[in-house]
Amino acid sequence: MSAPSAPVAAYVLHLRAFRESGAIVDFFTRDHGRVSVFAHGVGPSGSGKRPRNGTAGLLQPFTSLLVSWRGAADGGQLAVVEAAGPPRTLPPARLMSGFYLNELLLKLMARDDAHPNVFDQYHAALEVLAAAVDQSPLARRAEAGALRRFEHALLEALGLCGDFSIEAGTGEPLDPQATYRLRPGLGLMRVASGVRGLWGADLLAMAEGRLDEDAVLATARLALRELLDAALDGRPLLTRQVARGVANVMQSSRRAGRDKPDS
Amino acid sequence: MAFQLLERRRDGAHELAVALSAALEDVGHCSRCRMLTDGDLCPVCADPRRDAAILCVVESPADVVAVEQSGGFRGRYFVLNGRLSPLDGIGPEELGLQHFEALLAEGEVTEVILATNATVEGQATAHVVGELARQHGLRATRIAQGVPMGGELESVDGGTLAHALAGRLSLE
Ligand SMILES: [Zn+2]
Repeated sequence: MSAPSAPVAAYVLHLRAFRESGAIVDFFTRDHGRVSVFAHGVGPSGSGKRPRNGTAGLLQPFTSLLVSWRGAADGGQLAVVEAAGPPRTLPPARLMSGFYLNELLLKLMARDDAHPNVFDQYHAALEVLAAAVDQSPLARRAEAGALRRFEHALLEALGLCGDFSIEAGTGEPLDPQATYRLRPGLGLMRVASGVRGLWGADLLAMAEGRLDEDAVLATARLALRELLDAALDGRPLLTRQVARGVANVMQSSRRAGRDKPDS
Repeated sequence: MAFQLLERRRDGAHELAVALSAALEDVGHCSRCRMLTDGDLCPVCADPRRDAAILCVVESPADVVAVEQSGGFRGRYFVLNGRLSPLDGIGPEELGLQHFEALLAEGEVTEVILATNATVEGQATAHVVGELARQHGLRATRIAQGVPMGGELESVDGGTLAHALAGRLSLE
């Protein structure tokens, strides 16, 4: 059997049970981009064959790892997994955001295509999510900022993100007082005054990475979503659907709680 | 296993086949807690001595068996038959959370114990179920100690599990 690859910095994106006691693990690695390898003895649930050697515990999303494998980056065998640093747990209320980042990487990153900058941005986003422990406006803003920064970095790495500071066609800098619409693949087009669109001032702030005001965050969300939807080309994001389902069940439960005669 | 049965134990193989097909035909889910059962209610839900005020939420029927074997639990269960797994599109609907909510709305339950696995998906599941319980003004506790990260309840020994149940923590 071939020698294992040199250990590389990695995160688990997703784990799928495979056969009786194995799993296919999708990693995001710093040096090889997405890697998909087979791991023995870590799944599936209910097989009763799970080894208690800690590998299953390490192979969890959002934990910094060092991994090596034998064979191809697509279809090889997991060789070694080690923790790289102290364990990181995301606050429960931030887990959905973490899953969302993972789905973006799974759906938009090609296998074995290294993007160290996206990896570093992913790592940075997880650090922000891990620190956003409460439900204060500050924590929510930090969470939104981390997601937008990551989306921006990912789209840029994929060559799908234009310049948010200039107008398409003319190449003129944006007018802070004007509104624009974003056409994926083309860029920002000015719209007639009075027509709803993205504020020039917000887009300029976003282009400079100043993502801390609610208005800028809202504009960035719309603009980046436009680009992501184009990149996804009609493929739905399951994490978005599940997040919506969670919001719905919470809302109906809140209603039920309110309607109780004794409360 | 199939070869061994065919070669050495043909009678046994026949019995197994009959048992399996009976299981496939008769076994459904408990209308109250979603546990596998061949009746309308599972034995736990049908037992009047079980405490209806305490509801233990688990991922799988095997977890019910594991907690029952620990012997220290006298409440009832709710079986999700899965875990929140957003990347696989498994959300509240697949886990029967509307049904869970309806159960809470009946008003008998006063405490919900979250005994989902100590995995990231198990934590996400516990978070959502716990929020629902809190919206109904209920105490939500999470088994915390003794279950290793990445650990599945069914593979934890009874002693550890009993400890984990005894040492459950209130979710803030
Ligand atoms: Zn039942």
